[in-house]
Amino acid sequence: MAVRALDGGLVCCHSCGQLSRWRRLSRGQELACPRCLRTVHLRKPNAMGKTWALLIAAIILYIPANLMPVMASVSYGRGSPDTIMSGVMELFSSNQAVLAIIVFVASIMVPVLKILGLMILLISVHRRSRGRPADRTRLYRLVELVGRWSMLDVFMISLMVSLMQFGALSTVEAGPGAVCFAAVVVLTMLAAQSFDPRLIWDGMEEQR
Amino acid sequence: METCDLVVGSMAAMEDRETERLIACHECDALFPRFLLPQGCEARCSCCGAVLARCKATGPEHSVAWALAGLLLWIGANSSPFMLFTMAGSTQASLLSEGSVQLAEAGRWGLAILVLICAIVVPLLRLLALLWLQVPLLLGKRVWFKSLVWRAARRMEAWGMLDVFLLGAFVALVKFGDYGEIALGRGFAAFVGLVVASAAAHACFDSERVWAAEAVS
Repeated sequence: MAVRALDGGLVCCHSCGQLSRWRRLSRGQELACPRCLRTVHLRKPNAMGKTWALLIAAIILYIPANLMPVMASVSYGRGSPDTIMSGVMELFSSNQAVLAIIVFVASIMVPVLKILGLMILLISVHRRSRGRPADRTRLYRLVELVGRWSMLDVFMISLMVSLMQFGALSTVEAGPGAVCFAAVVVLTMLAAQSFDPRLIWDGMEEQR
Repeated sequence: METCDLVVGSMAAMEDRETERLIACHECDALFPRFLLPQGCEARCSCCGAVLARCKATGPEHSVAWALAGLLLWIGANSSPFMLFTMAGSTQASLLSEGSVQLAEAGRWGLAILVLICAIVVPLLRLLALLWLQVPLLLGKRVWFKSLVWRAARRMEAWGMLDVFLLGAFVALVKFGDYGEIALGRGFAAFVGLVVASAAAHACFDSERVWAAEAVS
């Protein structure tokens, strides 16, 4: 394994990547990156606790996000509340299989993948697991990359709401499920940002 | 092939040879020696495969050109009707920001602000940040508040979601088909252009050049 910045007493700025020398700090002191002036940390402070907290909040909200209606459309007096899943099924039944798959992947698979992926990473770091660190780092990169695509449903709802305003004739309203769903997306994005992938590699040296 | 110097001579790096000579992987913390990277190439970490450094083949003039185009298209996308919807004889035209307005009126403030930030505000601020950091470079002037603007731009990175919004618009288009007649406005065309221009502007942006300029001035 390669020599690591931590061993050399060096710290990599999280914002701009500039290396600087780590100094022992007294309480309340912070070290700033020489290039972009952002506070540097050897590891993101309290990464595990923060990620767990955000992730657990996301898991709790995931339940109402899928059970409550995300969109309620009233058309000619007929009302039909839509959940995330019923929206996908509706696309399937109207022969829009490609779009149905896209929405299914973005709104159902991606949040589950993000939550499970982050849980795997957190548990493996807690257990000081040594297996396949490169694959776990890849998993983290994937979680960070796909996270934003779950916002697709929220944007779709906002467009439906903006155009379907015909008073008594036909209106669309965002349901409470949409609020929960958006919160799940934001919370999992924040959780992924607060996790530090370098923790995956930290247990390696001492056990060898 | 032209080569560009990756070594950045910031104040602290000049005091410390080691931080100048080395580069660390931001995902697994492995240390590597810094070296000259040919233009248009990227270096990947041999431990975890993360991108360590890039030397882009495009200069700041490319990024600035795309960002300026993006800025004009942003104005177009936000001032012309985005979509027109006809149902039972009456037509409704809506702006890009209409979704946020309607959500806010229905009391869904959180959603309204989230959509406004991700689809309208952050994409604009990110383009402005690109211009702020690179236009002075082209003019050979000093970049004011360089580190502040850089940090703000980095923080906003994950929250600009133009591409996701575009895909959401396509899904909405199909869904509208069930209710009535939908037509795309000029704002939509501008928005598609904005997605392309903004992606190109960010892809052409080479942060190392912005930092390297400090050593010259």
